[in-house]
Amino acid sequence: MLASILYKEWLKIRPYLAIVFLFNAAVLVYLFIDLRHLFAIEHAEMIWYWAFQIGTLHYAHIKYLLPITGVIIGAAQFVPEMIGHRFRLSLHLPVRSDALVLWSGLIGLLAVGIIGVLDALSLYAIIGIFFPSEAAESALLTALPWLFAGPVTYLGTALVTMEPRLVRKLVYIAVSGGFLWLFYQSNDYESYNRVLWKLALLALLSVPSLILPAYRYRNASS
Amino acid sequence: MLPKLSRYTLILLAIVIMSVYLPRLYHKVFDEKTGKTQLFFSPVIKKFVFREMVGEGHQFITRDETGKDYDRQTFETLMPFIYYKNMDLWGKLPLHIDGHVFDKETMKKNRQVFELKPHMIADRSPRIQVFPLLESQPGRTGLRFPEDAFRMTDRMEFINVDTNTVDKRLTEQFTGALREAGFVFPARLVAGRVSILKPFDEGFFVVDANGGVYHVKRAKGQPVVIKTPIPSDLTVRNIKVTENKKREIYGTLLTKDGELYLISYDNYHLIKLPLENYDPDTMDFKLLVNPLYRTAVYSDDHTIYAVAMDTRYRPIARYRHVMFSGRRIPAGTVYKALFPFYIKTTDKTSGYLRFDVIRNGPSALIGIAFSLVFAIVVMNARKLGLRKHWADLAIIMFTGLYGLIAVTIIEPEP
Repeated sequence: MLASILYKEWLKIRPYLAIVFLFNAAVLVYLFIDLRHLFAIEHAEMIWYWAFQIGTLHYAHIKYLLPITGVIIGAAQFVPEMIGHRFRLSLHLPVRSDALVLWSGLIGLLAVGIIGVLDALSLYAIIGIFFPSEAAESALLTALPWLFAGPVTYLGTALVTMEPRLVRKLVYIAVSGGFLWLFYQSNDYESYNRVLWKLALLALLSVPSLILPAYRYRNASS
Repeated sequence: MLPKLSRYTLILLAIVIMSVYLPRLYHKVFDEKTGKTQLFFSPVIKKFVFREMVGEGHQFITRDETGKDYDRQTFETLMPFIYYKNMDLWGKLPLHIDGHVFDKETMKKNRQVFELKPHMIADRSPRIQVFPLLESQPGRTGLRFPEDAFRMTDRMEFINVDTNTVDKRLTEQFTGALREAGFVFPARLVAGRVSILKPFDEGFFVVDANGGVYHVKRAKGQPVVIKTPIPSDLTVRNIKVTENKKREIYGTLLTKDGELYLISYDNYHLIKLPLENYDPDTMDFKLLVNPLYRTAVYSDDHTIYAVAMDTRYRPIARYRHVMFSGRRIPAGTVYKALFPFYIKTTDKTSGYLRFDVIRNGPSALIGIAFSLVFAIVVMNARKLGLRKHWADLAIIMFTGLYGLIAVTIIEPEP
C-alpha cells in the first residue's frame, strides 16, 4: 500500500518537478552568464575584492530559489487533495492517516532535497570557475540557510494547505513565515556557520507537525 | 497519541519563533534613542570629560569627572586636538599648553586614532582567507590591486585573478623567502589592511605554526620577509594593521589573554597598553593619540573606561563611568517580566549569527504567574480539564507568555 501511495504522490508531483527543475536550472545558468558578464566588463581583482573584502554576494540570485520550489512542490501535492475533498478518500485507504501523511511528506521533501543538492553542487561548480576554492566553499556555506529554507517552506505549504479551518491556517502561515524568515537574517557571507545546525534541528522537529492538520481534516470532514 | 505529539511539536516551534520576534517587536515599539557616551582626557584641565545623551531628542550633558557641566563650545575647547578645526575658526590657535605651542598643521599631523571593535577580531567574523598583496613600492602615486591574490596553505600560494590558476613562479618565490626566514607552515593568522585607499602599504603580518610573527611585503615585485622579534609564546589572537603617515605604530596586537599591544616601527617593539577590565569580546576600544597624551577609551553597553597615558604610554589617570544607556529603564523591567527568555540571533560584536536562549532573570516569574492564572481561567471557561491538560500548564510554567499564546492558538483536539 505504501508503494502505491508513493507512486500516487510521484504521479502528482512529476510534471511540477520537471517545471521546478527547469526553473532552478535556468536561474543557475543565468548566474553563470551574469558572472561571466561581470568578469568581462570589470577587472577581476576588483570583483575578488568586492567578494572577499566588501562581502558582495554575487550569487544572491538563488536566495529564494528553493523556497519557491518548496511552495510549488507542496502545492502540487496537497492542493489537488483539497479540491473536492479528495483527501477524504485518501484517508479512507487501509493505512494509518499519520503514516499516509508522513510518507507523502517524505516524497515532497525528497524532491525538494534533490533539487537543493543539485543547486548546491551547481553553485559550487559555477563559483569555482571564477573564484578560488575558498570562495566556492564560502558560497556553499552562505547558501546553505537559503537551501534549508526550501524544505521548511514545503512543510509550511503542506501544513497550511491541509488545515481545514481558516483561523488555524493563518496561525500556520505566521509560524511557517516566521520560521522561514530565520533563514534570511543576514546579507553577509558565512554568517550562519555557527547556528545552522540548530535551525536544521528545528526544521527536523517540524516534520511530525504534518500529522495534526491531517487529523483535524479527518475529524472536520467526519 | 501521534496527533498530540504533533500538536506539541507545533507549539514548541511557535514558542521558538515567538521568542525570536516578540522581544524584537517590543524593542521596536519601546526603544529610545541612547547614544554612546563620548569620553576624553582633556590636556587643558587634565581631567576626564564626557558628552552623553540623557533623553529624548537632543538632550546632552557635557561634564567633567568632578561633575562640573560645560556648554558645548567650552567643552570642545577642552579637547583642542580633537576640535582643532573649530579652535582655528574661533581664533584660538596657536595653542599654548604646558609651555608647548601647537599650530593647526602640527595638531593635524600629530593626531591618530586606533580602533578595535569585537567584530574586527579575526575569529569573531568570517573572512575568506584569500588576500591581495599590494606592491608597497609602486613607483607611482596611489596604490592598486595586483593581478594575483595569495592564500596560506602548506605554502604561500598565489592565484592569478584572470585565470583563477596558481602562479607557480610567485608561489615558489614567496614560499622560498618565507622558509628562508624560518617560517613554519601552515599559518595561524594572516593580518593586513586590504584597501587601496590608504597612504602606503605595509603588507601583511603572518603568524606561523609555531607562533612566530612575520612581516611580509612585496617591494618592486620581490618578497620582503622579516621575522619580527615578537615573542612566539605570546599567542597572538589578532593584529590590526593601521597604515598611518606618522609611521610610528604598525597597528594593534591582541593576545588570547586579552592583552592589547601596539607594534612600533622601532624594530617591532611591543608597547603594552595598561588596560584594566578590558574585554575584547564585548568592548569597543579606541586609542586617541595627541602630541601630549594617549587616551585609551573602551566600553561595553554598560560602562565606559578610560586610561590617560603620557607619550611613553605610562598611565597617569584612570576613570570609569556607568553610561546613561547602561542604566535600567522601566521599559527594561516590564520587558523582563513579560518575556521569561528570548532567542538572540544577531550580535553586533560578531559577524556570526547566534541562536541562543537568553534568560531574563527572576522578574520573569511575574509574567509566568499571570500567564498561568490566565490559562487556568481560559481552560475553565472552555471546560477543559486541568488534569487532562497538565502538559499545557507545564509549558506555560517554563515559557510564560509564549507558551500561553501557543497553547491558546493551537488548542487541544477533542
